[in-house]
Amino acid sequence: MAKTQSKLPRLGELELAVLEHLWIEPDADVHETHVAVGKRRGISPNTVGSALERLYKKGLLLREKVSHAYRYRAALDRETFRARRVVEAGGGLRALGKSGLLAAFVDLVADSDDAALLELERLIRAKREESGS
Amino acid sequence: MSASLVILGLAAFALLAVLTSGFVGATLPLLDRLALSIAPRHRARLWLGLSAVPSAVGLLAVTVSFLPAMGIGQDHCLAHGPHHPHLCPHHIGSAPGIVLVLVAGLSAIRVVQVLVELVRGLRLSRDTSGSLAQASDNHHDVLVFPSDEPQAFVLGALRPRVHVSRGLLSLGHDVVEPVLAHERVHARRRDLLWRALCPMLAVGHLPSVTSSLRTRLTTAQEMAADTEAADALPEGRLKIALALVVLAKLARTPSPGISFTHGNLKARVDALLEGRRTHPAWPARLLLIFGLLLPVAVGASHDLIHHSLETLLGALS
Repeated sequence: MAKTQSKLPRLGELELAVLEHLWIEPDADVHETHVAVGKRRGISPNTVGSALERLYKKGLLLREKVSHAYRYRAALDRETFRARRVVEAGGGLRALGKSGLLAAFVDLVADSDDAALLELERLIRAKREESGS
Repeated sequence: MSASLVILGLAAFALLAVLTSGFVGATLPLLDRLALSIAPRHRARLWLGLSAVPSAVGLLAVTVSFLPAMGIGQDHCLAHGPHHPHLCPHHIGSAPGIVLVLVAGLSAIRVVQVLVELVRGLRLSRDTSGSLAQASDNHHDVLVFPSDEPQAFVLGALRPRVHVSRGLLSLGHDVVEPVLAHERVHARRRDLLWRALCPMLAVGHLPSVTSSLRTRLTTAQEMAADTEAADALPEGRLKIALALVVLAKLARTPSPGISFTHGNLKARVDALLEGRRTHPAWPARLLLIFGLLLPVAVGASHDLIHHSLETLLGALS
C-alpha cells in the first residue's frame, strides 16, 4: 500500500475527475474508470490507467489485485480531501493577504471595535428608515 | 555598450527616481485632497499612475540624455573634458566612482528583487486558487469551498475567480447578494493584477512611499467595487454597507483562520452612506494632461537634463 503523504499532492484535471468517480463508486478497475471518465474525453484506457497509477503513487488511492487486474478505491473520502485542501490553502491565503494579492470583501480581522461597528450599523439603519425601505 | 555607461545610466535612473519619489511622497497630503474630488475608480488609476512616476521620469530622463550622442541636439561632451562622467557612448574617459557603482548595484538588485517577488506572488496566487478550486463546488462563476467561517474573496491575478465559503452562503440573501456583486466587480476589473503590478511599477519609489501608494490603491479599488456593485443593486449602497458591518462583526470573533487587513472599513461605509456623488471631470482631465505633458517637457529639455545629470553624477563620483 502506498504511504499517505502529509501534504496533499497537486492534481491535474484528469486525476481529479478519476478521484471524483472513485468517491461515488466503492471501487473500480481501469476499464470501468475509462468508461465513466475517459470515453467522453476521447482518451485511451492507457491514459486513464496512468492517471490511476499516479494517484496510487501519490497516496490518494488504494488497490488490490483481483484476478489479473487491479481494483482501485479512494484512500480519502471527498469531505476529508476537501477539508485538507482548504487547510493547506490557508497558508497561501495568509501570505497573499499580507502581500495584498487577495481582494477580500472585508478584513477578517476587523479594524473597528465593537462600539464603532454598532454605531455604523445604527447609521445604516437610520439611513434605511430615512429612505423609507 | 560599455559597463561604465550601463553603471552611469543605472545610477542616473536611481538618483532621479529617488528624488522624484521624495517629491511624490511630500505631495501626498495635497494629492489626497485632490483624490477626494474624483471617483474611486479614477482614484485607483491615479495611485497606480503615481506609482510609475519615478521609474518613468528616471527612464525618460536617462533616455533623452543620450539623445545628443545620437545626433539629436547639441553634443557638448568635448567641451567638458574628463572632469565628470559622460552620459555618452562616444566619450567614456572617466570611470564611475565607487558611490555610483554602489547606487547602480543597489538599483539593479532592487529591480531583480521586485521581479522575483512578482513572479512568486503570481505563482502563489495561482497555486492557492487551484488548490481551493479542487476543494470547491462550482456554482456558475463562483467557487464554494467548505468552511463555516463567512469568507469571500477573489484570487488569481491573471485568471481571477470569486471564492466564497459555505459559511457565507448560510448568511442569507441580504448579505450574499452584495458580497458577490462586490467580488464580481474585482474579478471583472482585474484589480488583483494591478495590485500585483503596483510594486513593479513603483520600483523607483522609496519603500515608504510605495507602501503608502499600495494602501491608497487598495482602498480606492475597494471603494470602486463597492460603488459599482451598489449601482447594480436596488438600494445597493445600504445593502453593501450593511453587509460590510455584518461581516466585520462576525470577523471580530477570534478565529485561527485567515486574516487580512486593509484598515478601511469605516471609510468605505461612510462613502456608501454619503450617497451617490457626481464627481467633477476636471481633476481627472488635469491629471491626464499632466501625464501627457510630462514626456513632452522632458523631451524638450533634454539638453538641460543631460548636463544636469552629468553634473549630479560628477558630484557623486
